Amino acid sequence: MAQRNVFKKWKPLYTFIANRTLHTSSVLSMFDRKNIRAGVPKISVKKEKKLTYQEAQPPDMIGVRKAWDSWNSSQLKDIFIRKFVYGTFQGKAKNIIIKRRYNVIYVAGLVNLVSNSKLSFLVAYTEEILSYFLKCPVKLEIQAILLTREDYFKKI
Amino acid sequence: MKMSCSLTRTCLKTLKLGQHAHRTSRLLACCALRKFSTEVEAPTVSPSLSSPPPVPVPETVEVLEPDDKRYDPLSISFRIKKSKKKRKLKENELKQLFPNAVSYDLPKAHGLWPVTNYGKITFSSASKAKEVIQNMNGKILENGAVLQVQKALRPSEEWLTLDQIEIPKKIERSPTAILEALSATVGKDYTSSFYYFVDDPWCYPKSRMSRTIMTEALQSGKDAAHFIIKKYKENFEFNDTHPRIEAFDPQLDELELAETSQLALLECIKKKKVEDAINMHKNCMERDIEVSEDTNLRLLDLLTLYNSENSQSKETPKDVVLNNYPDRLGHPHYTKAGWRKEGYAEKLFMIMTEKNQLSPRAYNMMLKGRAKYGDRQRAMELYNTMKQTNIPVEIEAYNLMVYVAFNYPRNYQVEKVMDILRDMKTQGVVPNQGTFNTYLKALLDYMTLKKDNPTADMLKTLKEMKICGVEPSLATWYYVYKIGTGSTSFVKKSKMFCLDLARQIIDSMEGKIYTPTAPEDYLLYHYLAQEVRNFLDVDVTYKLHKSLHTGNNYRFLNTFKKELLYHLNYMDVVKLFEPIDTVVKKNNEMTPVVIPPSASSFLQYLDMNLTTDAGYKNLPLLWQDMIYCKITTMTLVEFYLSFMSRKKHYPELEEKIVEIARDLYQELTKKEESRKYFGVSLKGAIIDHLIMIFVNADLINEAWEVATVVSRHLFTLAIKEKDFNKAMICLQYLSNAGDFGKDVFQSLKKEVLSTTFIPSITASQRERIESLSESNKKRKKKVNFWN
Repeated sequence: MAQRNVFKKWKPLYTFIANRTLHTSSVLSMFDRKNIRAGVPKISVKKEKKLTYQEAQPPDMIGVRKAWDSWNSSQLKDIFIRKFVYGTFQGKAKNIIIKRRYNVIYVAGLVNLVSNSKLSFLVAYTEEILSYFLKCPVKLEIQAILLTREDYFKKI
Repeated sequence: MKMSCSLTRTCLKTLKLGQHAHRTSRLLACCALRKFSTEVEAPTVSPSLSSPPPVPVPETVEVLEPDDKRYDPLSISFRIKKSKKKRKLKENELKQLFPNAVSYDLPKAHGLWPVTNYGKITFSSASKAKEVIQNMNGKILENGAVLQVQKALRPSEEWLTLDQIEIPKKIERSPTAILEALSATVGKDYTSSFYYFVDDPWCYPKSRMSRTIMTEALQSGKDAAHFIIKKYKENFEFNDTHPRIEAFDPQLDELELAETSQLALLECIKKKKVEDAINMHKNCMERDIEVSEDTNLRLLDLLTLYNSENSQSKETPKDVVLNNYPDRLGHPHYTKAGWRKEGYAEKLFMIMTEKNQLSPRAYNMMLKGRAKYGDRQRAMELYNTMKQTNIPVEIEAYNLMVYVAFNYPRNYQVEKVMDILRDMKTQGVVPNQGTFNTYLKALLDYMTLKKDNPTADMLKTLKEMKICGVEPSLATWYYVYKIGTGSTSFVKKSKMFCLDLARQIIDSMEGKIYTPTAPEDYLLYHYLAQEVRNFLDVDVTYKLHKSLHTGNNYRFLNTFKKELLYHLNYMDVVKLFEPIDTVVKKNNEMTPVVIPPSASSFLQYLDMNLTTDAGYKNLPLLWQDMIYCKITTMTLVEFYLSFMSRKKHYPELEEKIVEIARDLYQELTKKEESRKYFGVSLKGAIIDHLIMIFVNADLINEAWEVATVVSRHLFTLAIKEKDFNKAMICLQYLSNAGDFGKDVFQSLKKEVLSTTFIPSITASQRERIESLSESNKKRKKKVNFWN
């Protein structure tokens, strides 16, 4: 509903000017969650779609149960770190989270490699090179996933 | 609460007055609080039910240092506490209470404000004052009043003007001193693995081989990173940190300055590049560039330390832990080449003599270098020249000369050694830990002939250490033990003697925290553990263990090997003397990290637990450990299952064992090779045990399932030997068995009739096969005796 014009005298001229108004509707409550279509994954027919914990949370839980992968999203360094890690682990790294505490950068993630020694080699390599690039100590906190283990939270 | 009449009167007055109401109200409030606090009475209880009045606890007197200058050591302050009515002490009473005093000062009342009423009494000596405080503090006088007696403060003017305020010297501490102190309060955590490894339980190394592989993998990762950093230096050079951090600059170890100058020389010396420094110095000499005395001295220092050759690579965690670290410099015994007589250090020395740049420090450095690397002749020459020209010799040089002097043949040995020690005394140089350690080491190394008896010398040196006030370090105990037990000589002492020695050493090590001074410090603990295990004495092992865990002493087991040896010997003794529960507890602490498991250790653990009935409850956990460590060998699994299947266990255990059996069976009957049980396959003994387990647990259906495996093995047997008769035998066997081998019978039949098995089958053979059927009934019909 458009706002009523205050200046009724000028009515015939000013009907053609666009007014900046809000188009509002009734408020959608969180109890009617079925009607939300933004930010919620669609249910598949055979319940095959795998979701991680973060993906499974609805958008009204941002800040409560759902968090970001790095809190300082304007940093170019974070993009660099992500690309580097995804590349060195040959695509077997998932869900990388970057945290900063004082001087140190902690990179946490899941890795799907078979042998222990390969993992430790790559971890030491990335730690050294990243710390020399970014001029501050970088530490990886990695959790290993086996092939047989299932790494999803929910199936939709 | 009672309101006193006087208060009400004052209230009325103020209300009437009306003026200055706020002031009076404040005063009233204060008076009221005071009055109410004193006049509040406890609810009265009849005397029969009331408990006796509580005894007032005397206040503890502060234990002050004698040097606290705020307090007057001769005088006392006193006051009365907790009296219902205001009470003042009079002089007569004071004299009765404190008869030995010199002067009395009664408390003075000043002003309206309530006074704490401290009085002061002086004595002639400080000890009397202390006695009085201890005796009279908290004394109860009449009417339940309590005396409080304390030390008296000087008047404030006095202790501000005392000139004897001493500001203690600053103790220089490292940047991580606080962290080290905190970590010393926390003992060794056996459940955590080496800090170097990736912190995920799946990634932990579970055997000795994998431990070495992991450390080498980590180190090689770092080396690979450094290789790339060196190759693409330009990409790593941008440094935007404020203040500038140099730790992550790519060029830390490399030289920046390439020109020939004094600054470049200093840089080489700082980064410990010996050959580069030598070349630089040569170039400087050729081009007549000035090199100051200080830089020459520093160069000399470097060259004598490293014997004018490049030192080995840096100490990495991997080298320390795997014992690949080359023998530590600073110890004369570990170099093979010896002092370089034509090395650059000698040449530098000649250059410095020409330029008259020799200071006593330079002489000392040269002495130390020659003595350290074993050049006896030149060291003694220099030493004699220094003596004649009255140049002072440092302690460290004396220490090394002591070792050098032992190198003479027997006739001259004693003389030379005593000469040096006498020189120390005349010069007034006090021997330190190093002298005693080198003396003992020399005894160990050189006294190896039959007629030698170094124990007497050893005991004398121990006495001297006490007199000089030098504390023995771990290295001294190492030498003492080795000399005392005669490990190097031909005559070896008896076991009791060795045990006594070990016991005395460990008693004297009690409660002390050691710092590393010599490389032999790192050899004591596991050596002693090995020796003590041969005597099988529990008390001594526990004492050793305790001294290991005091403070920072655990760092003396710095390699994996030493830890392993120590703990194996420790557990060997513990297993014999302690009940099973404690042994199991300690074993579970130690196994994955400190003593990595193997098949034999698991077998030993099994043996131990199977001797008693109480040990069976620990076995399901064992199975999980075997899976986690991937040590599932056939012998182990057979052994385990054989004991589980022998008898019927109590129901809680049975559940777990049945789970284990089911898991095994399901994993092994999959089509793919199981990674969980890598070395195991379904063979005769295991099938038997599994069947018995299920039977004991009254699960007969599952037992039947396991038994059908036999028939499947027959299938494979029949096909392998492509012989018709043997296949017939198997088919007959299976048909007689009935329901037992139905599926297998059909599949075998198909195989035999197909052309892949035998390309040419005659018709009669086909008939025989097809006549066989699954059940027995048809069979019986065919048999006719009369036809």
